[in-house]
Amino acid sequence: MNKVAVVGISDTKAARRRDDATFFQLAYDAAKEAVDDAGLTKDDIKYCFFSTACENFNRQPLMGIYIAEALGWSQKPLFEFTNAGGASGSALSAAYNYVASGQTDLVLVVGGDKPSDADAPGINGFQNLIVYGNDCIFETPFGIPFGQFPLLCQAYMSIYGITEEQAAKVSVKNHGNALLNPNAQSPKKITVEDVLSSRVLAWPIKLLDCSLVSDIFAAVVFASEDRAKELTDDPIYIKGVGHANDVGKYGWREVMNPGMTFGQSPVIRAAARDAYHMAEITDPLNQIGVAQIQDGYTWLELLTYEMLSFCGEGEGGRMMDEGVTEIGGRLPVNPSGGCLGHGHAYGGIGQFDMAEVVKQIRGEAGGYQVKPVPITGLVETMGGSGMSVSTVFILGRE
Amino acid sequence: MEVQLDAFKAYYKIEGEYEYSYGRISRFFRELVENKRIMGTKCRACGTVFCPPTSDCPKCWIPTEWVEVGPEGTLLHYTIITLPSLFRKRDLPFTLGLIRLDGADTGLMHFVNETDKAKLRNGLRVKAVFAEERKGYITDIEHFAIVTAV
Repeated sequence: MNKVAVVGISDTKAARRRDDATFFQLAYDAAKEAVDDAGLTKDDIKYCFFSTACENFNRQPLMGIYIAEALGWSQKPLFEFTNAGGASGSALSAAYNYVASGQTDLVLVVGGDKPSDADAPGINGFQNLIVYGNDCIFETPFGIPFGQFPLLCQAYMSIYGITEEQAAKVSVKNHGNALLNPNAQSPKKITVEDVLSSRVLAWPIKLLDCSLVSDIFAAVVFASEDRAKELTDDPIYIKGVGHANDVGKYGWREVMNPGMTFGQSPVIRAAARDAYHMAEITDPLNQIGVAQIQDGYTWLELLTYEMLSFCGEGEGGRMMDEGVTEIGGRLPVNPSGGCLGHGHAYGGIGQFDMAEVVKQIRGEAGGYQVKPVPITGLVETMGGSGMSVSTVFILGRE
Repeated sequence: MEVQLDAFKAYYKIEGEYEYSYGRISRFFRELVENKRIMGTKCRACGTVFCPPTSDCPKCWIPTEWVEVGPEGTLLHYTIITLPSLFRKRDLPFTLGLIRLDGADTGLMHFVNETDKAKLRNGLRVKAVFAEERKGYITDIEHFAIVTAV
């Protein structure tokens, strides 16, 4: 396999509503930013990979056709991926392989959603659309906009003794990190007590445990090693990729993953195992300098520490207590503010987070720059009604 | 980049109606409707009993056979929902649980008829209460009621 570098990224301010743009426009803007950042034009690139969490968030079936149109992608290929928060990981993984295999030397990967379009007057339409992402026969009839996540969080708490206070610290950290990020949607100085006393939505999940709803598209450009060296003196390479799926029905998870509990996320562990193997990571806590991971709900960040082997099983809460993942800690996680403080890019979350890790490794993250400048970073995406699909990338300098 | 401009807005609604077949798991719904029985499916190779059922074991790729499960089971995990949703079938708050029916190996998501957090905990014994009017949906089981604490 050939080496693949990230040579262009988008960098847009996250917002709850973007009334100034349609979703086609947001995709175009992100793509243009990334291609400009790479020092290329759209005509240099043949292959485009597009991801959306769910087309009905944007009211446009066959969405990829219209994104291709908006990007002027005529007589060349655009592939569409849809799989909730896993869509972007799938698109990035496929795009990586198109370059690694030698099929092409430049790819554009763009993704995102505009969920505010589903906020018809008086209702939170987006939350209702999420209901349809559950199993249509056995779960959608219960009408739970959170999917399986509250059950998963309760399982994680009760099996491993993780507390609501420990989860609340994730919200405090990520909203606090967002104060340092001029592109963040929700910069806030809050306390653990603020999180615990925020409105209960689906116990144990409270309002400030929840990630943001954002109108965001994000994009990255990948290049072969030769092209990357033409474009930059100091390419940042993708050194590891891992991808996994799991059951959609939460109740099947234990029997389909023998030895794992309902309070774990086998997909992330499997994706990380492959990415670490490829990148020769054997001690993630010490070999990785920065990580951007899916913090859709506070508990998920703690659980993801465990599944990425940053700590042992059941130790996610302790890791948070010890401040290991703060910007000044041993392994800063979500220094941008993550989905809780920076913005939640849904179908573009992988591109969005990969751009953040690239900024960190370039040393261009400004007020939330991790020091010393990391040489290796991790991106994790996760999606599904519970944790059903995940991709892990390891990025680094040569 | 939050450009200020005079954006024009409009309203849009997508509607669709479906009539679908349950295919080879039809018996699960027919038994709920006609006999108030809950059926699982057992893999002929590995013996795993699935409820929700599947016609073929996704682990072994071997056909399953029907076995009766429940109507009692164990509450594995739960959440108390207080966020309104257009789709809700019960008044707020309501409890959603993951229930392992007796004889099954998997968990089944369903309503639990108790919203007092002090009275809920993992491991409670629960029993299916069937709806009077049953039409072939998982909600033909109205909810699970707590039997006794363990």
